[in-house]
Amino acid sequence: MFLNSITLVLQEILEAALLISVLLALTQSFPKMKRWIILGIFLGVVGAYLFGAYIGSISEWFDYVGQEIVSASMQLSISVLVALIAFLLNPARARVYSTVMLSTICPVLVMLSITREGAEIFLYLQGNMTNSVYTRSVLAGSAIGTGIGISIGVVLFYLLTGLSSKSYWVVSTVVLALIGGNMAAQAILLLTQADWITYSAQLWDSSAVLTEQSLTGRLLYSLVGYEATPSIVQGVGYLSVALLILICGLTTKIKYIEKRRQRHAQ
Amino acid sequence: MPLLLTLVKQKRLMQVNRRVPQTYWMLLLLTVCEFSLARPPLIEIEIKDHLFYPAVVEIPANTKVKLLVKNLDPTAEEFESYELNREKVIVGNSISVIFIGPLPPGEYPFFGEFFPKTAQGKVIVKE
Repeated sequence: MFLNSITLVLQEILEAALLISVLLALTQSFPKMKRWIILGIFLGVVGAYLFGAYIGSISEWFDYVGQEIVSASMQLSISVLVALIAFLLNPARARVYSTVMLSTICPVLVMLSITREGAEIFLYLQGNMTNSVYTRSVLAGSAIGTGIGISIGVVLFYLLTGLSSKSYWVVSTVVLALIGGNMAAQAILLLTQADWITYSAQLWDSSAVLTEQSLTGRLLYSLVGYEATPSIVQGVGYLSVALLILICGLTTKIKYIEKRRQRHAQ
Repeated sequence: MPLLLTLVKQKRLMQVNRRVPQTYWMLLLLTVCEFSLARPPLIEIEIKDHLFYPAVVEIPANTKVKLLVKNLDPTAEEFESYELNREKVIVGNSISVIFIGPLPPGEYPFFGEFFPKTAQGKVIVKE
């Protein structure tokens, strides 16, 4: 129970931690953004509590697949908002209007990612609190899982901010693309589970190389959305969203650099 | 001229015959509707004292199946399976639906992520 609670909590926390540290690193030049992100964390914890508390009745929506539909909508919103962030923070596009937009998008984004994952932790803890045999090990494991998750987030933040300004933007955009793609693929899986998207054939089977059960597999699942047996629609969804984010974040930058070069040449 | 005449004739013929493909289309549409309206087989699984009943579920191959999971415990459980690519929280004293398949024959273990030591089961897909 102890190890299980570490991995369960760590897995849930990692996704949010990854997003928060990238957002914090990216918005460093916007002085008040930290406050908005902290507001997002607070809202996310409240949202997780509410989502967890009402998940029973939410599950009954749409013929007992409400949970999938609500979670998938949250994940798809995260994908879209991440693409918007990449678009707005693109060095060629940073203008005054984006500061206002950023201070609305960042807290919503953080809130959504914590709400979805936090609700699960909340339900897990609630269920195990009543079961006195496990309470201690579950609490200790969860605390350790949270600690590891936050530490990885902090390390990532310093790694990103430590990079040179050139590679920093490229690496951040790639991380955003992985987050967005991951969210889209997970949303598609949930919609398939709810029978809102029809089944599509398996794209590959890498369970012989790396199982999803293994610790590495579980961590990679939270970080980049690793799946041993993804479907074709999932693969297409992942790739198209990731590509969209890369285009939003990187293309104009290239044009911008070219323009600057041309100006220098003149 | 004769070519034109035959063309006109053909067109008339087609007009007469237009109803035939229409009926075919209607039939096709009806079968498609019936196919999609055909409900997937329903299989019930209960969760009690952090155990699955039945722990082994048999389903036909290449068929979509609707799992109706009843959690009779007061605590929440998460139905999870890496092999089936499924994950769903089922709160205490509630019913939930999970669609699985169509799947090739084989064994697909599932477990309750919140109480993985006891809550274990598998889906056996048979031809």
